[in-house]
Amino acid sequence: MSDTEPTTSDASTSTLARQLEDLDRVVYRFRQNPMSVIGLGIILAFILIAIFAPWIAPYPSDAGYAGEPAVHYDQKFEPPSAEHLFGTDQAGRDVFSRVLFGTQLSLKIGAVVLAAAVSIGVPIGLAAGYFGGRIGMVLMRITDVFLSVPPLVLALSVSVALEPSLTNAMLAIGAVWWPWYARLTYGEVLSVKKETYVEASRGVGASSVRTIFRDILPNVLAPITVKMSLDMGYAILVASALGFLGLGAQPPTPEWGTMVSQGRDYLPAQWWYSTFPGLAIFLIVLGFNFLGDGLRDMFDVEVQ
Amino acid sequence: MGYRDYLIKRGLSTIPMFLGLSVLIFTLARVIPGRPARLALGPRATDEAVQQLREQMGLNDPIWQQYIEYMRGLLQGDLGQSLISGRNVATDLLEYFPATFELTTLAMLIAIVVGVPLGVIAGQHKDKWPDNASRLFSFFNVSLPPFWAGILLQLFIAFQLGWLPATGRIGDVSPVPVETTGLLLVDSTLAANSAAFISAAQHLILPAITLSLAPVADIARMTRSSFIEEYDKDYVEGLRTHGIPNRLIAYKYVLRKSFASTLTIIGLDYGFLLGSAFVVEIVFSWPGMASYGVEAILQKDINAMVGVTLVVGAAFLIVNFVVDILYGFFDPRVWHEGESE
Amino acid sequence: MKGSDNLETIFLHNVYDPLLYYTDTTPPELKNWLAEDYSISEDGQTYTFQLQPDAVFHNDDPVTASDVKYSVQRMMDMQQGFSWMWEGILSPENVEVVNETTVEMTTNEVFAPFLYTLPFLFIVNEEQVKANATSDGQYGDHGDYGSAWLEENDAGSGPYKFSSRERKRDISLEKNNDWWSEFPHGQSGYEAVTIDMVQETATAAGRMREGAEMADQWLPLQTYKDLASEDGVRVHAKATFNPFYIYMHTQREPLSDIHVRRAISYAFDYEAALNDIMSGDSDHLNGPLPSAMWSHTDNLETYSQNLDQAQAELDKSDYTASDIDLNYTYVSGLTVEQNMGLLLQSNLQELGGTVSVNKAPWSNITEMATSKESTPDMLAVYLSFSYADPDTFLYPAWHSSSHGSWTSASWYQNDQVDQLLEDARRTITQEDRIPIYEEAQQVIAEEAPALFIMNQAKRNAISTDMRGFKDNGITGYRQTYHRYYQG
Repeated sequence: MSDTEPTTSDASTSTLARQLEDLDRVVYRFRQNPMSVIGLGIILAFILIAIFAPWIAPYPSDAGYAGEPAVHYDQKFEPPSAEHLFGTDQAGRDVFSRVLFGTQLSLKIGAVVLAAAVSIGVPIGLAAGYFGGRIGMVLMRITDVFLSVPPLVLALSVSVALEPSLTNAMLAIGAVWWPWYARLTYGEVLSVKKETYVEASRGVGASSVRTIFRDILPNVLAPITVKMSLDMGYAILVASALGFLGLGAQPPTPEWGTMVSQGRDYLPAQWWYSTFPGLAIFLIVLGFNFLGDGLRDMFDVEVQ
Repeated sequence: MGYRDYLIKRGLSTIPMFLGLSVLIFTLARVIPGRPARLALGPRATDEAVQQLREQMGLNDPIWQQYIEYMRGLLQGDLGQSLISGRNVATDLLEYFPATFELTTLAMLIAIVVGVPLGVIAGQHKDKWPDNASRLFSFFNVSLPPFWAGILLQLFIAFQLGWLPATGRIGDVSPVPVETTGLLLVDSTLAANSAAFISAAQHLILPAITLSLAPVADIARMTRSSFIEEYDKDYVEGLRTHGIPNRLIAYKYVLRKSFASTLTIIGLDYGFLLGSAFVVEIVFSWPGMASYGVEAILQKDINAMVGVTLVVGAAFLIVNFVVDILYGFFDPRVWHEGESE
Repeated sequence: MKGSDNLETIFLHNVYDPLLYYTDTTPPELKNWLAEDYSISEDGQTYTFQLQPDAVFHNDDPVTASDVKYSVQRMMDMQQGFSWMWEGILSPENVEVVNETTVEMTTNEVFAPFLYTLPFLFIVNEEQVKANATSDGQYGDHGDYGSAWLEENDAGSGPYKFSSRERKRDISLEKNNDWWSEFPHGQSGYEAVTIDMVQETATAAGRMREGAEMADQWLPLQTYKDLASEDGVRVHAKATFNPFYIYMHTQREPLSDIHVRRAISYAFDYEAALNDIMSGDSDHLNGPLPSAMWSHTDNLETYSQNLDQAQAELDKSDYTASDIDLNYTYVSGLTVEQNMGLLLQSNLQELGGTVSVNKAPWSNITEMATSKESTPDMLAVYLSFSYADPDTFLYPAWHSSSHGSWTSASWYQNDQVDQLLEDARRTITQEDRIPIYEEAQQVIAEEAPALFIMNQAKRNAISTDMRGFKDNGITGYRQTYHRYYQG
């Protein structure tokens, strides 16, 4: 996609070799950026934790694993020790185990939010860009309206309108996030449209749906993928803020933002209760930001 | 197209945005499950009283009619009654807005004062250690959950070291500054009340720093990239051969030219900053509009919820309008080229 | 909690005076206040009060019988504050001014707890309120009954006067040095009091560290523990009248089955609740009444954790453990309630049932409780204590006419209990009422419409400089500042 590389293939025999070469270059570019490698490492670690939490966590039932919510009020507020790496909370539950299990939730939240945002935003952006004219303008004005208020504020209202629960919190964030994807897709479509081949395929009477799927969609995939990886961290951040405000998971779900919020009642004496779940949010978001930055360099695309 | 036409066109374009936002949030507030009239009157109210209040609030009318009534009230500064405080939402907001305005403005100032030089230094030392350090610092900042960053600051600076208060807006000072603008720093200055000024400033520092973290990073990165773009141009080399010191070149010539793009990010960040205020005010028990808004939304106080969202939206639109005006001032290409959208 | 309610109550208790007042003892007794003396007619419906001749309002107007009549009228017309206590019981036209200092009240029916409610009838200065009422209010000729003016002023006779209101979250009072009654500690009473409403635990704790005199009860236990170790702060804890129930929706399956409710009552781990969640200074409730309330009896079914018995009850019911899939709702921010829910969740898990723990703001909970459909399966509630009579707890919770209020979230319907509670209201003497209440307690405990968990100790963080702190359990009395002094 950079200017120096040819965009059309001339010899079919060398295609595979050239693709491998491309891949090499891409990987090289990715590895050039040490932060993106660290980011990838962090995210892989979190994914492993998410998968193996039931085996790694010393007290899986403390995190409500397998529907066995456990409380041990006689062990409440024990400071970090070898037995409880991150201490225990107000119900005597192992904060370390709960933080580990929270990973699954956090990744799931990020993925669902972005999936919702993409599945609303991309079609709208495609439609607005492809049809243009009045339809396009109306669609993009609606998009702008959603962008005129901070996402957290709107997400708060939407999640209350849907009744507070984890699923609804995810949907709410997705529902205020789509405009970014609509905008991005719209911009991409406009630039792709300018290129002649789409005009050409229209000329020979290709249907609009076909044009969208065959010619336009593949071109917007790369920037959308990069944007998704960049947004993943931010989506987790906003979701944790909703959890912090009490509009997310209900207890005893080990959602990190909710845990930070509950621990806040016990500051400064029981500092570990808020500190460690917050640290987990920070690390996972940092991982995604590093990784997204690396991907952006790798694909050399401009998003925002 | 002249600068004036540009201003007018840009100004007018915010109106449909605001109307759209009002329709959106108004509809959202009306579909919230729950019975607002019952909520307002409390558990001991009779059914007749509830029905009467519904009638009075217009809740039995079709929604478009309610919307028109609401907008008519809005033009006269009437935002409807808060179901929880029992007062007009406009009265409530007038009381809480200054606290939020003072906090977010200071946070933005910190972000600019720290972010711009950071970006310039990074740009001057492109790909050397100061640039890498600044890059890393920016990544850390945008990855910090604001509520957690606030808690850490409270733990270390307030609880551990005891340097600054952990929560609240002002301590027990006498005399209490007379309320004129509602901005405590301004009010205490006007009243020449140094005790109140110091106390208010001490309370402001931690929440303002917390809020400024992410914008600092954005501003630094944006300044850096536009700075580098400008710094590579030929005239810079020319200045250098004339023996003008590097510092002067960087701050007087290059920064001035590249500042326009930093401005746009400031507008965008102000919106995010208002959003972060919703959690940061809670952490610091800051008696501002965001705390009020969170409470309103959680308790389904529909009028207050609409009011807060509209004020936040309006603030965001106004800031971006101002930014565009300044941008046009710094970079006339925007309006010379006309309809290049 | 609605903060404003709380602030309003504190304000009334300090700035206004009622006819009768409660003593500092537990359980509280009545003593004369603005009334110098009173008598009750034979039929138990007419009460005659002699007013203190030298009682004056803050503007030096004497407190007269006409002010009392006006206060009742204003209260009942506005239907705000404590007016629910006299709804259907005292009508303004049945308050008669006999002479300047004698007033007679006739209740619509015999209402035995009447005297106990009078400490909540605060007397306002009729002339002053009338002079400052705006004409365009919602109360016809009475305009707004002076409520706008009273936001920034007072028309009371109490030991403190309104001083100022700052940023709506706090209110300042100044000592009324010309009070018609006496400050028990004379000159060492507080000259001025500022009441600060803070929403955040951390702020409240911070204020205590910075030297505030007193913090009220809604702080997490751990915060109290931390505060107790601070210099200059002590924590006062006393179990008075603060019953904590978990209501069970008796009109929804499977909780409609008495055996399911009893099974749950036997499954809950009261020991862990009292010793680990609480710190051992709260009492286990035996039945619906706290033990300090007169007429309380131990002679009733009490529940302690016994999983065999729980299983036996479940076997007797029409349901199996897998039918127990309940929603437990608590007030957001109340950590004790949240912990009780988590404990219940874990306890019922052992029995094979499931519980989801949900939180909601208080205002939404009161709204949910207005209909049978929206009331959650299980609701955690601190029953509020108003007047020192068993009626204050039993009638709002278990009489079917209370349905629709959060106090009655079990939707309990038992004709025998209805009858007993009505009889107790109509029976004049205390000794005759006691057996009626005992019987009602027995029936209710047997049917287990709620988990009777504990009578929670009320906590206050107090500065060691403040002396004379008393807690008789009555709402607002801990914040009755004229009894306190610096030492």
